[in-house]
Amino acid sequence: MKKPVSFVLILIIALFAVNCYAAPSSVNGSDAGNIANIVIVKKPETAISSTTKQIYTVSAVSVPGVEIAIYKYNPSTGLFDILTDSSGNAVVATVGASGLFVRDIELSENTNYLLIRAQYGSLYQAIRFDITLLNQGLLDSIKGFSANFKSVFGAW
Amino acid sequence: MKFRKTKSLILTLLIVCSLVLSVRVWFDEKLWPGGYNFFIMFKNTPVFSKIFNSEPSYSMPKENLSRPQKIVITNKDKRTVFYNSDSSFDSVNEIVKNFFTQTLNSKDNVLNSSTVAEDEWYDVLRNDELLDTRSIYVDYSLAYSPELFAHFIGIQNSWLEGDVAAVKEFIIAPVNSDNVNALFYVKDFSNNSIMKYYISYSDKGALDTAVSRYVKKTDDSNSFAFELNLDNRSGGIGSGVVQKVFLDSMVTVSTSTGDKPVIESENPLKSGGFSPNAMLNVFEYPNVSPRHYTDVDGTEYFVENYSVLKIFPNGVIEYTADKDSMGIEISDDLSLYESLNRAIEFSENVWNAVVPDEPFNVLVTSDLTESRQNDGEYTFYLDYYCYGSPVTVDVDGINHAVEIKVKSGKIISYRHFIRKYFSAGYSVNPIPMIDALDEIYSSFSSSEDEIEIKDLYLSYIDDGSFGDKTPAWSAEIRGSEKLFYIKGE
Repeated sequence: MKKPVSFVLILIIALFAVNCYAAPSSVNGSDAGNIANIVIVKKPETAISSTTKQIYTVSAVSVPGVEIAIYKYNPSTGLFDILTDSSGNAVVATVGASGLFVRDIELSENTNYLLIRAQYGSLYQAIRFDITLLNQGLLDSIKGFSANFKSVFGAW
Repeated sequence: MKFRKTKSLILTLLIVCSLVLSVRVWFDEKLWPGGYNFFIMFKNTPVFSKIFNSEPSYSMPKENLSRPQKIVITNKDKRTVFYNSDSSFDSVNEIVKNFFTQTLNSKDNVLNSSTVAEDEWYDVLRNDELLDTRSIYVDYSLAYSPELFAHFIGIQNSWLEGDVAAVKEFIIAPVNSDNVNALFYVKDFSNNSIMKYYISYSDKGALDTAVSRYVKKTDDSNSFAFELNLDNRSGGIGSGVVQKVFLDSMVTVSTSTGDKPVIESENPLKSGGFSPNAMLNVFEYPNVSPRHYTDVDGTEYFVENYSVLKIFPNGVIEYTADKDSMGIEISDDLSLYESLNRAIEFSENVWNAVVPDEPFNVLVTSDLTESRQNDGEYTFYLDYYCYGSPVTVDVDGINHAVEIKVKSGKIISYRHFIRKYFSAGYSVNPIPMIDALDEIYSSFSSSEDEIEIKDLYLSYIDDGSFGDKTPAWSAEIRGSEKLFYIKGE
């Protein structure tokens, strides 16, 4: 009697493990994964970018059923830790039928070293990208300096 | 001699008095309430009604036509989206409307103009890069001919007519320059070309106020789809994934939704107090002896003047003229503006005949662009508006609250789904936009079709039932006339 029950339990656990592949809390930034074509990061468009927006929207296109999570570099461990939103929930979602993924993240000042990880069963892909958050005041000062420079020396 | 003059004067006065009183009696609607009064019919003709009813009365549907659906204000890294149900929408709209009326009234305000590429349109709105963006994006829910747009914002004519064929979207960008106070971008809805105007505007301070005072930093970045590159397949980091769902560039993607009220509906035709007589007057049917019979399902039929008026128990009122020439005359002017105005007034009369004390909160939802093919023939759709969201009707092939066909100044067919809406007393938090998109895509197609979402918004769905109506996400898909929706909870 115990054997069939144990078998069913093991089966349930195995199935659960396949379907609900929870994103790891930390990952290594140098590990690009074991597959290369299950996610495209649409925004940011390039691996290195700058912005003045503290609340930044990341968008991606993937395959239905893929779980996507966003990570941020932790200098104290050298690993990338999963990001959490203002409510403390991990920034992770399973892609639906549309294949679209859109999430807001909060950036900190200066360069944010980020990673997006897509996982489907045992297959996973990681894409690294960096976003530098510029202070709007600093940007205004640079623009002001540029304008003054042009007025004094003329435009190029 | 003096006595004769006095007698003549008194006689003349008496004759004038008798004539005035006779005219008053003849034109009094109470004299023959059956609808056969020749003088009333005479008075109600379009030419005389203009003379007798010269004072314009307030019309909520016409007021709604002058209100944009959405205003998006961007100030550098901050952005706020104002929907026309928001509390501060009217203040922002007032600033926008004043700009439109003053700017479009005289071409003297235009210092220069040019056609620009689509990239510039996007750059003026983009706030995710290092651009000094200060802009007001104004989106109307439907496309207008420039003449009609001018009328609805309160001016007779606009210089825009010479430059663009149809308008729906505008951008106002305040600038700090000696002569130029604002850049004004107008997208031509007919061919997507973009005109840029350098504007001299006396109340530039109001524009500065709009972009500085009304924009707030929020947790939701409200990005446009083009900022997220979800409107095209190019760009991005990585490869090998085929994008199936595309969003129109100007769809604002929200990552969170606030609470929306749940509503209930009522059929005023069933709830008591409704008498068909007032309705018959609107359709110019005699009250006294119209040919009338009732079907087994409770549908009432009135037959008169080569037409049939049906009042269904589910709240639908339907009028059909047997011949186009026998329709109800509403205007002798065949222009789009006149036909629309009179058609709206007619639908207001129908509404008032059923629920006289309730506001008729509807929005015209058919595009208002005139072409030579129209030739005085128009089909207008009106839909109910409740708590700032449209109510989508989906009852037995009926998809709009009001459908009016006008030909040569006559209503030849009219259908009205009569409903009253009110709050159910509680609110719900709709599911996020992307989750809604997933469900809509699943229901739209089981294959690997590519689709483009023209618009995605919260609405209420009325399928004719009387239970609580929660907000639903509705998607307009390019190439499809049908509206796709899923429950928003």
